[in-house]
Amino acid sequence: MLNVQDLHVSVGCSEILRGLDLAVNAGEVHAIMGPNGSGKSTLAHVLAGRPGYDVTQGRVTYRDRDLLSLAPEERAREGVFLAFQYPVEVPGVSNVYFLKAALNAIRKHRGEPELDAMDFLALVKEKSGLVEIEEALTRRAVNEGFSGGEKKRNEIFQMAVLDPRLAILDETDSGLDIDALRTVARGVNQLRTAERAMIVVTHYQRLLEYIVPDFVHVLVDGRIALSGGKDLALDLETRGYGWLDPGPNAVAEAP
Amino acid sequence: MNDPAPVGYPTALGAPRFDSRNEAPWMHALRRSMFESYMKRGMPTPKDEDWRHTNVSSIATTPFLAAASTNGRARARDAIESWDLGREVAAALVFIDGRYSPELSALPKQDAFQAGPLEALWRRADGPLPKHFGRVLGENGHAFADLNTAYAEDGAFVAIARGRVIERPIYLLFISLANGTPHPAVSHPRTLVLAESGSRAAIVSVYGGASEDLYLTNAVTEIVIEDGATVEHDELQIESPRAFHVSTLAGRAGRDGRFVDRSFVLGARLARRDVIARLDGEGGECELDGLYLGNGTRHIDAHTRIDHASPHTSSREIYKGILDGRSHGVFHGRIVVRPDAQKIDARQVNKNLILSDAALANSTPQLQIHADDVRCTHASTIGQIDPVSLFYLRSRGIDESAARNLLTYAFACEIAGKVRIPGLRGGIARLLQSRLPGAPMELCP
Ligand SMILES: Nc1ncnc2c1ncn2[C@@H]1O[C@H](COP(=O)(O)OP(=O)(O)OP(=O)(O)O)[C@@H](O)[C@H]1O
Ligand SMILES: [Mg+2]
Repeated sequence: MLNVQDLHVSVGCSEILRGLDLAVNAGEVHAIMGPNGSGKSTLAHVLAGRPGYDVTQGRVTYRDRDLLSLAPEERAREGVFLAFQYPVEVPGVSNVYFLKAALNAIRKHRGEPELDAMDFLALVKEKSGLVEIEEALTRRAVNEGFSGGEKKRNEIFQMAVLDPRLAILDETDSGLDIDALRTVARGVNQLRTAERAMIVVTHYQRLLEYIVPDFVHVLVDGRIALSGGKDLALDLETRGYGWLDPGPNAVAEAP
Repeated sequence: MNDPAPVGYPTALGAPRFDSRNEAPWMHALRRSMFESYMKRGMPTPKDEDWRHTNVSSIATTPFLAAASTNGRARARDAIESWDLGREVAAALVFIDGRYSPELSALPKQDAFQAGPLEALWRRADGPLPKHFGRVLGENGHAFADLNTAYAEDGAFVAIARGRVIERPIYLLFISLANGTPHPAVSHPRTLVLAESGSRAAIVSVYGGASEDLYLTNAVTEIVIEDGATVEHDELQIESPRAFHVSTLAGRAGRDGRFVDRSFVLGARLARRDVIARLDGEGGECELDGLYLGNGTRHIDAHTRIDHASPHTSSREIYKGILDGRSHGVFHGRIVVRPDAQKIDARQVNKNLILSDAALANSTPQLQIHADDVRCTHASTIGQIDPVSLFYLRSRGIDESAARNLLTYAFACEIAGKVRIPGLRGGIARLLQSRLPGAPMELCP
């Protein structure tokens, strides 16, 4: 589904991603871990099409298309979804209005009829139940005045409504209490299907107990320094990142 | 004194005929003193600090005359219909080219308030006018306000009786037809609102044009809020695209008085609005909100002054501008805290959204604080649509232009959503939708 090859990305004059490779197939969940500032959010943003990043080398294909040539909205309509590490407050735009506009743009692109108000509200009800987000929040302005945890839940709620093919969750677990973490993980697991792929960026092994990944990658200094199975996360938990060689890509021994 | 006046405004009108009107001596004297004040000041020029960004020479050089008596009643009715708040209002006073129109107005009989044209009251030596008329403005007006007092032909008087609460708004509609004269026309609408102690009322003023011609509206409104009274004033300015609109609103609130003014400046080629709010008694509050929209070559200037003349008073102010094309928006917000006025809480925000390369905004907060136990904050921003918000919307599948429109409209809705009268709020939302392309119908308010 997604194939990242030798990706080099700069912001201004500093190179942040320095030859990153990653292949994700439908049905898989990939966890990306790594130290602060190693480039995890940069990768997530570049995949979602955020302006301001220069791709200086490498390529990204998504469902056999050149992902980097698509505008952010086109990527979203093709099924790419990014749950932001820092969700954005949009005063004056209600969550439900925003989601309806987004969903209908996506449906239109897929050749499906727009949802009317009734059907949309039914969908909101169903999905807000899934991530246990209060319905009152769905009527408020997008993320405005939401607590940190509410913002993260709202990202997963949006994901549930928009039904993406490739979901990238950037530290969705940070700032969540234990109960919220379980709820969000349950929401994510219900969206796990054979057609959908997920990239889960996290600092904590704990999340991966709930969302069990097929692969774990360690991003150090703009490259995948190590890839392995779910147990790699446990190793990292005890050993930290210091022992990793940020040099040429390494592969952990099969457990 | 400034340069000699050109044969434009107000020279073409001739000196006011103070004694030909059969007015009471106090009014006669007031008009004369304001005209003399104008003669001393002259028309403002960009050399005057308060007019640095707004050049009114195009007004000063146009020979405006008073509109002749109106024969465009049909057009007036059309204009009124588009602004009909129907049953939502407690009373409606309609003025055509600054003159009261009894046929178009509706003044139901009741005893909670008094509403009617000013002209009749100017003839009387007694009543509330000698005490209040012209007094809120006092010396704080500028040349245009002076000229309004000198030349006003009529206006609205509204008095809310002590302790009475008027649920529905009192509606003042000022329409310029500006016809019947081959010359550009001027009107000088005037309003006095008196809220007696403990009363509460909402006033809606709409200034609109039903004329393609060049005309000038030079309006003054005074609002007296006695102890414990509240006045909420919403003003919508939708003058014709070729019109000039200059207006001054002076409000004064006594002890525990509350003064709310929300202004929507959507019309006129050149619009200047001054708000002068004075908090005269402890516990007084004022809330000033404004939204101005600029496109084409329009020029909009919003000047506000909040005078904390008494301790324990608070003010909130949010002014927002959306500027497109080659328009120019000016915000100047002065907050004055008098030496003995401790325990003041004043917050001011001005945000400007710039939609084009050629649009321009000036924002000048000015705090004059002469007391020490005060809390004053101000924030002023001039910027384009936030790229992070734009990306967020796009990352969900909304295309770029729709996302821009959505964010622009949402920016305006913060102010429009505060209007509490449903018909007015809906009307403003529709106007915003017609002015901001692609604004979504359902979003707000
Ligand atoms: N717009 C930007 N301008 C300048 N530097 C940037 C920008 N965006 C990212 N960087 C830098 O790129 C590096 C990688 O940042 P990124 O946000 O991708 O890290 P991360 O792995 O997500 O870190 P964390 O775990 O703290 O979220 C950091 O050094 C950061 O300062
Ligand atoms: Mg990050």
